[in-house]
Amino acid sequence: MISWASLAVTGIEIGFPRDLVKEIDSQFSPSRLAEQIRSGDAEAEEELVGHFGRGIGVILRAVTRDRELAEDLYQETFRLAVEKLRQGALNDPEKLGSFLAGTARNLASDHRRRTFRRRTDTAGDTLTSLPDTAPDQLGELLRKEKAALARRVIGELENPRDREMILRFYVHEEPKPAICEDLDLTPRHFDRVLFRARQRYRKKFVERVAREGKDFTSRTGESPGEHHVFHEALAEHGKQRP
Amino acid sequence: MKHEYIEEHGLVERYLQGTLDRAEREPFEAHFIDCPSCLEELEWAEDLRGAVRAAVAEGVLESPPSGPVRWIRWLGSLEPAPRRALIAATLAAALLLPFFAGRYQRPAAGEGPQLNTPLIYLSAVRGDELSASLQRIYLPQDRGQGRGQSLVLVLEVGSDRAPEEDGAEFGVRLRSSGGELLWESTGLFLNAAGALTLTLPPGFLEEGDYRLEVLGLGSDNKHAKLASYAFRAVSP
Ligand SMILES: [Zn+2]
Repeated sequence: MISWASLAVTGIEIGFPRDLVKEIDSQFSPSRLAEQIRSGDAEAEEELVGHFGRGIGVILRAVTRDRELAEDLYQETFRLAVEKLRQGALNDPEKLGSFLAGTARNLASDHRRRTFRRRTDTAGDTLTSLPDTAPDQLGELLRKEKAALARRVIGELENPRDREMILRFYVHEEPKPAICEDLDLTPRHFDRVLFRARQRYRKKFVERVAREGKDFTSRTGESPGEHHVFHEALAEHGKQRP
Repeated sequence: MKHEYIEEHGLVERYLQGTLDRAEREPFEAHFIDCPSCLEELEWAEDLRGAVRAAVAEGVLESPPSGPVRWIRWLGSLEPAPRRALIAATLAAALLLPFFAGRYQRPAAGEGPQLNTPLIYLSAVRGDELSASLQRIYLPQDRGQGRGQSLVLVLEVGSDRAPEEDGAEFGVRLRSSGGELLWESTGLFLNAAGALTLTLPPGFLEEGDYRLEVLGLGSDNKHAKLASYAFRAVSP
């Protein structure tokens, strides 16, 4: 597992791998890294996690649509990948990224299949294999904060069609072409509206963190998968300050 | 893969929606896994999507009704192969609905065909997603008189959750928020789109929170819960 470097911005300490990543990136070469891992270099394994961890997180969350499960599969992905790399299973070391992406995706799909079988094969009628727990209090707070920000971002869109577009895309998951045709929007406009909404949301989030600082982060904690939001927000806030 | 292409084709959002085909998805993954700016876009898009859904679940944002008419119009514009699959799924959703042979009455006898039956897509919830995903369903007007529209709930379990389990048998249970079993049916199969569909006759649902459970039939012939769906029925 990565050793999280620590960064202090406006007095807030938060686990944060970015500086580590930056340091690595300047000299990053996939084939060099693959070769080092093959020869058993433990530091190279850490570098692998530092460089690709964020992307693996995105893939696992996208495939599982479940943050908790994605967290569970994160280490397993790297364990598997390192094992294969040590065996020299990667034919084209330049394709290290694709190899890791494929490992994550396969692992997540396999996991789902296995879970499916286990549930159908061994479980009786009484089994409740999916946890029905309510979100914890910190997670709940963060969710509310974010919901309020999203409402503001969407409320500020002047064009009602744009508001409808975002809601139909995110909430009902209607396909983009269907929404575009129905609301008479070009695909370009569609992308632009989403892009701008994202920027606005991000800006508001950063402002919120800056305004409430430690209070906000200590209330919301570091729930799984949320690291990026905080370190983005904090890093950006750090940049804005001389 | 070039950023121009990624931007022009809206890959970030489509990736997260799971609608990229393999030919686009694989090169995009290979690119973004090593691209800080794409990762940033993906992460903020994920976050915004979650926030919007949370806002709808909290009731601070109103969810628009989705439009089946538009869907059908859009289907007409597709290439034959995907259109066939989608039409099959849509027809299955709208017409082939044996489930309400269950404990409750069928729609009134002699009732004619219904047009534009709203299709409501429910996404499975798990653990902490539960309350975030309390999707709103608008009850038909006039439901008191047993008229009005039926609602079709589409539970997308198949293609994503258990791709290789073709022919697997499923069951569905509808519970009140308090856990009381309101209705159940077994011996169901996924439709062409990997979904189970459920037609709710007008007047079937009262206002309130509900939970649907999809069960899978194991080799031991017992049912186990595979997925849960939560929704809130409200008057328009
Ligand atoms: Zn990129």
